[in-house]
Amino acid sequence: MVKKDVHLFACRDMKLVYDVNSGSLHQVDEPAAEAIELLLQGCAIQEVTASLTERFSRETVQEVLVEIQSLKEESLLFSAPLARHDPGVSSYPLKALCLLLSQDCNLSCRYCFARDEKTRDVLLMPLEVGRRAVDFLLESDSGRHREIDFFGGEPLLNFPVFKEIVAYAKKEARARGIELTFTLTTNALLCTEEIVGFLNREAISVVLSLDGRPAVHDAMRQDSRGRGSYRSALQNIRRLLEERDYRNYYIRGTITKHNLDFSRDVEPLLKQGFDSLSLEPVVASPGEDYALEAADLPQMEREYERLLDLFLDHQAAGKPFLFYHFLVDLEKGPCLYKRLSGCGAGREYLAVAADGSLYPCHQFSGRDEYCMGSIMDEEPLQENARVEALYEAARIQRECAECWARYLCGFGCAAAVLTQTGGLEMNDFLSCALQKMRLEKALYLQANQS
Amino acid sequence: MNGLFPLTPSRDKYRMKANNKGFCEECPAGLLGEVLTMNHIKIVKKGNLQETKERDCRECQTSCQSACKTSCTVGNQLCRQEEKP
Repeated sequence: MVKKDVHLFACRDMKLVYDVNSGSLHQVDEPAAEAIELLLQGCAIQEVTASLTERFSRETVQEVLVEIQSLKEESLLFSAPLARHDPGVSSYPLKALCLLLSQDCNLSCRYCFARDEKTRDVLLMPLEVGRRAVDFLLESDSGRHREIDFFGGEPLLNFPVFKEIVAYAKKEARARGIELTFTLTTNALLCTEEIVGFLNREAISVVLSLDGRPAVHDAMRQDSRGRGSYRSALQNIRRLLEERDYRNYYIRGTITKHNLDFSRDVEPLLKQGFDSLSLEPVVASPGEDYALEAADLPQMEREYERLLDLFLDHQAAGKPFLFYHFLVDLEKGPCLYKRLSGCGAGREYLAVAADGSLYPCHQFSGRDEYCMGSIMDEEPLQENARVEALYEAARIQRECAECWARYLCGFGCAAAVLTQTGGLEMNDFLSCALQKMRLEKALYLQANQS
Repeated sequence: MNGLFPLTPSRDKYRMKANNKGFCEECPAGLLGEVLTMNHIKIVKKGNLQETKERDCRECQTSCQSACKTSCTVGNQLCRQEEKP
């Protein structure tokens, strides 16, 4: 029994045990927690009994041990380690494409990982590239479900091609009996009545960039002349969402060094009536003034606690909201294959740049060493040892194997690791710490609501 | 008993657990026919990771987009395993 297989932790008024290899979650009282802790330390049953009977009655100790034993026999606690079950890159069917429809943008957000992409030769994806990408995705031998995400830059700068690609993809998918879903990530500034109508009519899910408080948003999300974009973005987002009854969307904000009090960014979003929210820690090189660092973790922990308060308060008031990092599905979550395939970048998921170049994901666009071919070539997908190395990196082999969150995190984001550590050899400590922090709260909510 | 702990709980004190299954047929403590009330451990969720090792992902509708855009981790994504009607 080792700690990597059973995670015992306290959150607020609860002691919780997460059984890593089964994905089971239990709430335990003090004697049970103490017994489990001793077992995790390698104590023999006699030692556990002796230690516990100093503080608890013999009857209690017996009860606790019987309960632990019974859960073990049901593989719900101290369950057997799962063998690593990786069928290899070629076995992962392509299921999703990210089309970088426009690598130009109408904003110059300071923290944008794609801001250097504006200098590319081809900024707007030609229709032919989009059609070839659709064909490539639909021809993949990967079952009935596919996804296309339209991303940028600002994808709506290429709205005419966007419309054509959606129409073509729907027609082709229908002919092949494939269920295709679409997502668009946008800053909403170009959401005219025509575009709003199109997005809602075509049932395209939207991820809408808005950072919460106006001053926080405007400090980062500026146009080329340094003007903030909050007012226009908010106005357009509200119109878009009102016309779709606030369904199939996420408001996505970013946490940087400059808004470490990020729970204050959630409050105004909730007041605006948005109830489907996410806040992502910025991906930034350590030298940037807005980059997060280890010293920020205590404050971020407090902010996630405040967010938990907000969550529970709203729930109690009958106004629940959805915060993506507090979601976890232990009973019907992804299968082991999916969990071991990482985030899917370079395997089930590829990004197509405006000029047709293929990358493991949108965040790799422009990193030529990770280019995986071109959608315009007869054989679009080329082997790239560097991409395979994303999943063979020492961090995954070593550090992740010892981590209790290893089946919940998808091994983190390789692009973020590259940006924040300069290589793939080690994990990004900060991202891992934040991930585990959020997961504990997500697990707490499961117990709180059960 | 092949269990982890050499327990010998007294029959009159221990009731075999129900564990959401109602009546327990295999008592780890050898107390067939009795029901154990879990007094110290509450099962919040029964995970099924052990049973998903060989699933064919071709029919799976789990989102395969990279995690960050929808701000979700792989583990946070809801896997809609049931076929849509």
